Amino acid sequence: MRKLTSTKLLLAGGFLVAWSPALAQGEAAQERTKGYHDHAAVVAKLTEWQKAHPAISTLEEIGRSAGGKAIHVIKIAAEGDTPADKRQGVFVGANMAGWHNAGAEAALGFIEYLLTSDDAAAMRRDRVVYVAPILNPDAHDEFFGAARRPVRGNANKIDRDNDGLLGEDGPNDLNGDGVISQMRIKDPTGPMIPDPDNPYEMKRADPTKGETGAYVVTTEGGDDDGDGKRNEDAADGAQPDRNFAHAFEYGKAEAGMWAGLQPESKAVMDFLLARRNIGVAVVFGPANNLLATPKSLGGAVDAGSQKFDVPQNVANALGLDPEGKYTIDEIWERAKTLPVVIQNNLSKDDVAQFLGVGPATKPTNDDVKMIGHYAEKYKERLKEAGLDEKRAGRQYRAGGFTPWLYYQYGAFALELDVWGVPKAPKKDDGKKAEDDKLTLEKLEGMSADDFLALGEEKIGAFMKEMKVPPQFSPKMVMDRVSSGQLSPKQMAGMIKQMGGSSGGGSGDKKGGPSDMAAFVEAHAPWAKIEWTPVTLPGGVQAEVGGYDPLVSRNPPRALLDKAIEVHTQTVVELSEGMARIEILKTEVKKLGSDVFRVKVTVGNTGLLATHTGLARKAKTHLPVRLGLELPAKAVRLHGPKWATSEQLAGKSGSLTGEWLVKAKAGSTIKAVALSDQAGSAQAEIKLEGGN
Amino acid sequence: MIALLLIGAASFALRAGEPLAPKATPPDPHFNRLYHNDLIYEMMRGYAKAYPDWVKLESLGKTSAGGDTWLLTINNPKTGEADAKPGFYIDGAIHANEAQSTETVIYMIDYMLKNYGKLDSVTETMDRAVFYFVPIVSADSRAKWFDEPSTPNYPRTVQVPVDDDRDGAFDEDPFDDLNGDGVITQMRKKVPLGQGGFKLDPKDPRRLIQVEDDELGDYIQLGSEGLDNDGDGAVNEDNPGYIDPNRSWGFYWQPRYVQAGSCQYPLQIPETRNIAVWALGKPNIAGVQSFHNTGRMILRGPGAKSEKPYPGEDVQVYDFFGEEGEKILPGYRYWVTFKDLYTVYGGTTNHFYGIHGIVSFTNELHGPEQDFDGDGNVSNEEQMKFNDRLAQGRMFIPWKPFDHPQYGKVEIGGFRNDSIRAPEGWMLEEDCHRNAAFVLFHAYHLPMIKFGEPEVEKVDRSLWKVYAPIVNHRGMPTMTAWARDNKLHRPDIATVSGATVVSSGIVQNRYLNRVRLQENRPERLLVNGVGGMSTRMLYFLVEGKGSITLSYDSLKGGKISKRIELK
Repeated sequence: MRKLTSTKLLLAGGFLVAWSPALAQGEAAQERTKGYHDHAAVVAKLTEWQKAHPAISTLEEIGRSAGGKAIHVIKIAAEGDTPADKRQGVFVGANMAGWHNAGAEAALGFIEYLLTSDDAAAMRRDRVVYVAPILNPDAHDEFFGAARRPVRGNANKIDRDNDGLLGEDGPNDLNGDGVISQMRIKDPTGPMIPDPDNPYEMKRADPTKGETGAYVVTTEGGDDDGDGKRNEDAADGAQPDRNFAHAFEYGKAEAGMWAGLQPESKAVMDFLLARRNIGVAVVFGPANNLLATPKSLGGAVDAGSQKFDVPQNVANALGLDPEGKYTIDEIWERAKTLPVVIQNNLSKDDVAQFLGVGPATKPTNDDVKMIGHYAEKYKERLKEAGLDEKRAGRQYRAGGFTPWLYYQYGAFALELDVWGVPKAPKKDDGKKAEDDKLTLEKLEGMSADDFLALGEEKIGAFMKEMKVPPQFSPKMVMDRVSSGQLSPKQMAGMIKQMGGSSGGGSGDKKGGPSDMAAFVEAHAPWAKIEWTPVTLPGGVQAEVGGYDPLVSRNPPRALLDKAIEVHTQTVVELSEGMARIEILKTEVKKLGSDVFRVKVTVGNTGLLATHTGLARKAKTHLPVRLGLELPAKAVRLHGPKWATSEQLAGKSGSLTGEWLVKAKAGSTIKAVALSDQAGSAQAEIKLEGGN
Repeated sequence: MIALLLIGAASFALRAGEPLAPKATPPDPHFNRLYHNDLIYEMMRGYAKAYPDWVKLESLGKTSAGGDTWLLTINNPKTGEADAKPGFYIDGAIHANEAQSTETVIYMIDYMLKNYGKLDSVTETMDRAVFYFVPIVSADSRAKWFDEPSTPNYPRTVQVPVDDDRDGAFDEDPFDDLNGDGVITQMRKKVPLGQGGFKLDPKDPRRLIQVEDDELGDYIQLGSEGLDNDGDGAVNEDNPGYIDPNRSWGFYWQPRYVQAGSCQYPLQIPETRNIAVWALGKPNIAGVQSFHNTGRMILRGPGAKSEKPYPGEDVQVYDFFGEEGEKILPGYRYWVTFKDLYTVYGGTTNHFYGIHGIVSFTNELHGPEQDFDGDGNVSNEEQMKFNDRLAQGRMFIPWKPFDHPQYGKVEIGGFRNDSIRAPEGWMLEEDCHRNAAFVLFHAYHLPMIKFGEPEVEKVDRSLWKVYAPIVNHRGMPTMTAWARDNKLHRPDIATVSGATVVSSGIVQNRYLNRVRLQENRPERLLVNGVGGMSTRMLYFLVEGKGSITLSYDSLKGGKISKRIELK
């Protein structure tokens, strides 16, 4: 493969460049990665920590990446009342995305806190915590590479342009600065122009403002294989963070053929599936589920209202019109009395499966509510730490690790991005209308009187903008606010829950520096790359420049410290909120000489439910089970072996079991409650008393 | 090198292949019975020993409970390397209880090896294609079906413990062979009049019939033979198994609450993962056949409505085989799984078509034996009549009393495990043969590409237009439309050596000189396959003298090359 070097190009082009890459390169290269840990450094650190804290930590290699690098999990648990593997478990995993090295740093910070801080004593004692700081080691190390760029794929190389050749046209570091940045080429058909306010940025020309496109913008590199496309086959590997089964993207090579084929996704799934005690999972990755509530990743329609075609033979058996479409309930109404259904003990679920009811496609309402609760606390914490709590959060993507944890593994799972480019300080350019405009943020902070003072028209326009369903009229809202039934803050919360605009977008930045420009100028000047002329094969003139593409998620390491603290505390808070089953009540009533009615109630004293709404629906975990252990001669006359519940809601959920037991008066029996993710409980019950 | 092989192949094909001379006595199975896995493996080793140059045996890996995924490959060594030829993959017993699907695969192996050099169509197909057979996918459970008390339906799934009743214990309430006859049959109980929904059939007391609306019943059905082993008030609710390997594949896989029997992620279990991972290294596979029972069907996907519909071009190919299949297999129906049967997420053939773009069928072998009254339906009564008149009572084990610890006095009896879904011995061979014939028909139509007569036109002194037709002489395309549309594998590639290629493209109309030119890299022309029974005309504008060599390289259609004189 032909390599293009900057020297050759510069000589060939005969340009003298004002900015000398050779001089600045060394310093910039150091700045880019200073303080960040590559895979080898992380392994060394984990090993060192484990040796320093042997009583409370173990280090396990759970698999190897496609490139043969070890994937580690450190398990942290101090001695406690319950053996570590039976406690409620917390999982923290980082950098499955590959280019989110800040996530790995946050995981390291969390591990250090957990191993060394006195504040973490309770968590060490009551929980078992598993942390995997680098889930995609192959891509992780590209951050430190000689021509760095955001790489998501592992070492399972893919013929990205499907031409039978592998890696024949990757990007090229044309200006020799060690970064693959942007490249702009003058082209009258190009849609882009330089952004006059942000010299390192290009923007789309807006013809309505008299602008005409003049550039094509691509990543840095030439058409190495002469197929007319630039950089279309770097042979980047399959992306582990798209290789999970929820909303998997079929027919996209980079998603990795099928879910679970890639060694990284398989390793972590095998590890987690062997540990059903994990109730909370936090992924440090590019999305942020607490700044933007997770949305549906699409796919099948949720069951319920969905109507189905019924195969002809089944339709005949059910006495339905084969041409018609029916809901599951309508079909079940007919099916449940059929002998074949009765004899085979088929349930409505079985019938639904035959007809192809799809999977859940959005978080359940109870889970969204809980996410909202933690989001509020999270934003407060960000604000206190002086971090931007109003910046936009990204959604996780189809086939990702976090959606798998939530939809299929059944954990209360959140992805958090640790850090993002803060909004640029607002420049007051006299646009009062802009300032007057009602936003969700403003609404949250408003008193009822201020809100009502806005007037019906303004409120109506705002509701329309936020896509509030039309059945809620402005007048209705105003009535409720004025009567005290609804506060502006509650209204803002409701709009967010309904998926209304979070107001997190950067808005119109006319006239000032972009968020990125302001940030880079203030904190990471090394990330600016001056536009440098280069000559491409065939004599095409181009310029390379822009920003270091990794800085948007991976700022100078020192800037991460506060963010890591906030995220450590967020995990701690989630851990504290975990479900915990306890026996709340036992009642014994003597019915005969040695026959007793025993009633036991188990409840959940944690804030989180024992099972997320999705886990309840998908039955990912065993139900909460409540049963009796009887002494040798006692007999369970009536009542189930296990009373079960698929979910005990936080603080309020309970399950009562009732039994008739024949046992000698005065003997002791035991009530036992078991769960996968919410611990276990037991109580001794003395069979005595009158009726 | 390639050219030499091709010349070798061509000259070999001219001499009709001689029948294979076995180096050791080959197995001589009778296809009127079912064989335990051990005997099947012995046969497979026997074929490898008898035909060592042609037959290769290898394990693709271990299964859940320690068995092996045995693969038998048949390749004619004189006509080239296996991987360079169009390939056909055939498997059986992915559902362990569907036992005779294995014999059907063995039948095909036996038939092909013994008829090479005798029957032209078999000889020709074996000369130009490679065949991969996995006769037993679910090895542990098929052995269990023979070795332990089982039913026609059990064990269907793999031997990975699953807590079916979600009580924290695994496989703690299996079937029980209460009467110790080696088979799990049914239980029924006579109850006081009015407490049951059934009564004895007055014409045949072996059968229960539902009471009419104006009758009281005195029998109840209690399901399969077993106890409430774990004292939870349910019988046989946590049998060994329930990960269904034919719901475990990687295309449109769904979790268990959507698709019963699926695993925790696609291809989590070794039974299917072994095969799927192996197949990644066999891009030459162009046809797939999976054998199941029961119901006499030739099934194709989609398995679920949520899958994208198949492209029309591919449907035509499927229909060609499916419709002809209905004639080769009288009584079999060519069906689309989700539409005509039921929804299947993560099935074998969906995987091979969806992920790899391979035309794939599932055949459901056998079916209800005889429709005595010709009303188009085989009733329970007719099933019993067949047992009596034809099977001489072999299929049905008569009811015998038993004292059940939970139900009290019951009767135990019913159809044997090797009946209903598996044919009686004397019916087996014909079903094996017809299904093998269906696969041979499909395999006969694996893509066969040859050069048509090229045309060369002189433009000036050293500039030539070359029109080179690539003709596919068989019904399968070298690349399915699905593979093309979803970029599942690389297209075919045509290259020229011996001259400079100035431009190249695909001819759309030879007579009106309409050519779709490839904009860049003309020396490496990418071709989206050659359709079944059709021609793709390639165009090259070359600068040079003497001759050029044109090579055509298709993943699923093989490689050919030709010297073309520039004159």
